[in-house]
Amino acid sequence: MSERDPFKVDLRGIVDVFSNHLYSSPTVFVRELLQNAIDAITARHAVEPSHGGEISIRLVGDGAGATLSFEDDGIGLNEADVHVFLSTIGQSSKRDSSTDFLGQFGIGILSCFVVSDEVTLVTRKLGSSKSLRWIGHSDGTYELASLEASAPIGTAVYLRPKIESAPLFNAAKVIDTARHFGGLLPVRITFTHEGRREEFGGEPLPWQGIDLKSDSGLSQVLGYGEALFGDRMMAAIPIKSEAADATGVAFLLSEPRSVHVPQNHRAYLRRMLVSDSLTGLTPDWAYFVRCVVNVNDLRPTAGRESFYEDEKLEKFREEVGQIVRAWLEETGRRDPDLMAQFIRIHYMALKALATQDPEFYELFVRWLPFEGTRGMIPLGDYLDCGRELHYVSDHDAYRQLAGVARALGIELIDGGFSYDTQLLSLAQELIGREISPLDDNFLMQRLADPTAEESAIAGDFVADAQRVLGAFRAQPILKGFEPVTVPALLSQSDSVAYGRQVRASREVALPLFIDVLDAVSPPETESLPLLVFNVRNELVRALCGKLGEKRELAIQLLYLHALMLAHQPLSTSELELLQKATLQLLMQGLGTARRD
Amino acid sequence: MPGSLSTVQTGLTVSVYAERALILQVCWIVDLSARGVGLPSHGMGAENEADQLIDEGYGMAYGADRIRAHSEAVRVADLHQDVEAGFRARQALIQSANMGGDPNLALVAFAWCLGQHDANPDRFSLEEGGHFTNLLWMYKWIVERTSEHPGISRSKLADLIDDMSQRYRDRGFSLRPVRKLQLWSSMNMLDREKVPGAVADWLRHGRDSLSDCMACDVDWEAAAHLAMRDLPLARQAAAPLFENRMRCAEVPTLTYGRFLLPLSQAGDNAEAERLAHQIPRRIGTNRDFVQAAGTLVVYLVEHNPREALRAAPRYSAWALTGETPLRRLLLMIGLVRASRLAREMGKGGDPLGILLPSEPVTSFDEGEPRLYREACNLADAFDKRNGHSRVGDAVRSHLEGTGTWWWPL
Repeated sequence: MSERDPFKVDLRGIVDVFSNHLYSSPTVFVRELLQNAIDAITARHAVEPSHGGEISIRLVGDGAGATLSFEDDGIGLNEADVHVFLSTIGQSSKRDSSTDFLGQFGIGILSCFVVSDEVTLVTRKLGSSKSLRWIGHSDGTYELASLEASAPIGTAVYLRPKIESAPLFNAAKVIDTARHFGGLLPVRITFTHEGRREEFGGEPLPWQGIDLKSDSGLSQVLGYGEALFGDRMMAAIPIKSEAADATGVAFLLSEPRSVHVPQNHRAYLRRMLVSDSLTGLTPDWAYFVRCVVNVNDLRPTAGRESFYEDEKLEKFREEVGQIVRAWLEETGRRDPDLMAQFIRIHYMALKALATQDPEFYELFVRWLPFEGTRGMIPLGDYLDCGRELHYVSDHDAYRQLAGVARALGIELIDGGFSYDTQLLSLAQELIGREISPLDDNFLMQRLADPTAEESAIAGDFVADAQRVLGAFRAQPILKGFEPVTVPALLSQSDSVAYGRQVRASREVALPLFIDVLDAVSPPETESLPLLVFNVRNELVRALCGKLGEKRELAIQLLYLHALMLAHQPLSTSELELLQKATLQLLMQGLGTARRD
Repeated sequence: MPGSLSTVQTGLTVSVYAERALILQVCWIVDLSARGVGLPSHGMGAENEADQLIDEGYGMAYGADRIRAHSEAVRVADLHQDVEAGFRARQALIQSANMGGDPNLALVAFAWCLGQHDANPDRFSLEEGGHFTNLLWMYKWIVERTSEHPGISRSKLADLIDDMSQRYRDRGFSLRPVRKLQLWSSMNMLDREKVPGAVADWLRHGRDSLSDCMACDVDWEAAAHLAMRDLPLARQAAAPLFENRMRCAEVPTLTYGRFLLPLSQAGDNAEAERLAHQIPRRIGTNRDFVQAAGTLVVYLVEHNPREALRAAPRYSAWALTGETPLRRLLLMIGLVRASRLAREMGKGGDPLGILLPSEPVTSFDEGEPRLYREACNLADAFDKRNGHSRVGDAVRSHLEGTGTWWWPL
């Protein structure tokens, strides 16, 4: 038992693994055979640099009775090669020089057993006169024989389908699959079937040598991208990566997409398709691009349908990110219309992402439109107008303060839309210009104090208001501001809103939690809302006169009304007051009418 | 009755339409000619409007915007006196605020929900996954963060844990989360001698549907080993997190923050550098990770001065508000040390950032004494609560750059 025994491999089990786990489709045998052919041609080219190479795919018959062959004029195999490379699972002639060859796992030919019970291969190696025929069976056996007749240099593989694979041995299916995987291969590939002959491959990459700065070049590549992905594209950005020795194009989608759904990209490895639905080729933030790339130096997974998540792929991703960033920067400078169009299309998703990634936000911060006193215009336009710029964090505050801001000659942005408050706060740091919230401090500092004459008119109004509003933990202030039609402003900062929530919770909380709330948010530290009365307003001036009880009632109603206009939920005591004050007002009104 | 205002004392009910009429009656006193002066959008219905805001928030990443959306949902529900919608909105807000760096707001919403539930126990579903079960889950977050506030005395914390424990027991849930919070309190109060027993007590209880996810459990177990000053065991415990085999909304970002400085001081520079490289991207703009931000700034001060001066302004707005005081302490230490570094590099006048929303930009030179004072005051408040001087000792030594880093300080 101390002797070491070799593993025994059940080929049927291996084929089952290929069929059900490694490859996503049985059609990959086409890719594997094309790949072997390309590698053989590459090997011959190394010995005979003038050799161009050719691959021929022939289908004789159709369906269950068909024979499909793949022939190449590559370097071919000798007897030793056949034993080692075709008949030893996991052995590859290409592992040591993976940068030149597509295959490197030694499992390519085995993929044929997914669709065929018997694989026949005829080959003659360059420089050898001996032609060989290898027949592999799906039960794990194979036969090797010398042929009397001399075969051409290279290799031909013949397959007959299993019953369940018959639909794959159809002319349309074979040519579509071969084009799908090998359409960009550098070698000419000929397909023939009963008089039909088609050629493809051997062409430059579709984006190779095309100037994307010229209208015709851009239009050509955009057309290619739209046909490839079935999406409308608004721009094409050339990709060149040193990390992965890659070239390609990043297409900007002209329809909005979700940040949370990664885009599918199309990737080729040394011009053989790896996948048309590959994710993770771009940074997460570049959700608005779809790429087609040909890489020469990324490591494929064993199934060859994606790339290993390694340092090289990470660098490639970073490079693509830098290229897209550079394009955005350049476009912002040179083509404002295109940039505006880009932002319009991807508006919400860009905003969501910008809050998470300030560096990304910096690329288009000046171009992002905000709703404010100048309408819906880019932030850069607000900044360029040279006036003070402020924002408020909700629509109600904006509605209340926009007129005041106009009168003060400042620009005000409504930050009540999703993400806007945070984006405006971030923008200040990125741009280095002051874009500050319009808060209590601002109102206190910028709204004019009453003149001596106005103070005289006000008399004891503020003291009275203080007494009345003290019960509601609100602070009255008297100022003079435009427009004079506004009698009062209610300042509701975030901390005031928080205080209202704390009070709402205290009304229903258990004693244990009231203690905890008091410890975490002591009532004495609560911010009070400001009710700023406008001494220039006719109503407020009237209230400054001797009105007795009516003044108290009017102050209470002004406060409640301001709360309702700000869409604030009323507390129990505020609701009681609303009830009482309204009825009182009605009674007074009706009483007056009766007397009249 | 959704969409109505009901007065408490008189029992009179004022319909939403009457509310509009009331507003119109008093319009004589204010200017309604201003563009967009609006009334509540009653047409949509409180439930729909609040739920729409709740859903909108759920579509956002954790952070200020999500909190804002869910706060707005609470406001709309309350405006319409719709307790059911208010309950749903607050549950969403508790989660957003807890995961988005505003635990005080989470506490406020939780106190409301629990109070409503106890006042109207039949109104809220008691089944698995129902309102109350969700509340029991969220109770863990509340106790966790509350223990990190110096204003909460030991006895008050014990009362909270007792209340939570009773509610779990009443519903037949495992006390594992309760014991875990006792462990957390011991770590946060720097009661190191109590940690081994608390770990054993926690792990003795079986898991059930209210237990934390595996990633969080692994993270806390690793934190406990750090609190016991055993880095090798802590690393061993955290291996599934470092190997990317487990993760959740907060883990491994929190884990990376816990390990960065202990690894660095143990001389594992490669691993520390790997974590330091990943932490900023993981933190993003979510102040829930203020502790990780603090450790990062300290690490950069010691290993990459230029980057430290770039990172400090990025997080300075988190030092004095939001999250829990214990979590902010680390960032204060980091910013004090970054400010001193800036002065040494002749950049003391450079902007550190806006420390409080209502204030102008502060320079490193201006910020340093203020943050130093705040950190010391906070540490003293913790010591007063904890009944020993361990937080103050640790904070002062870290401020001077002479301390040894464990967890939480």
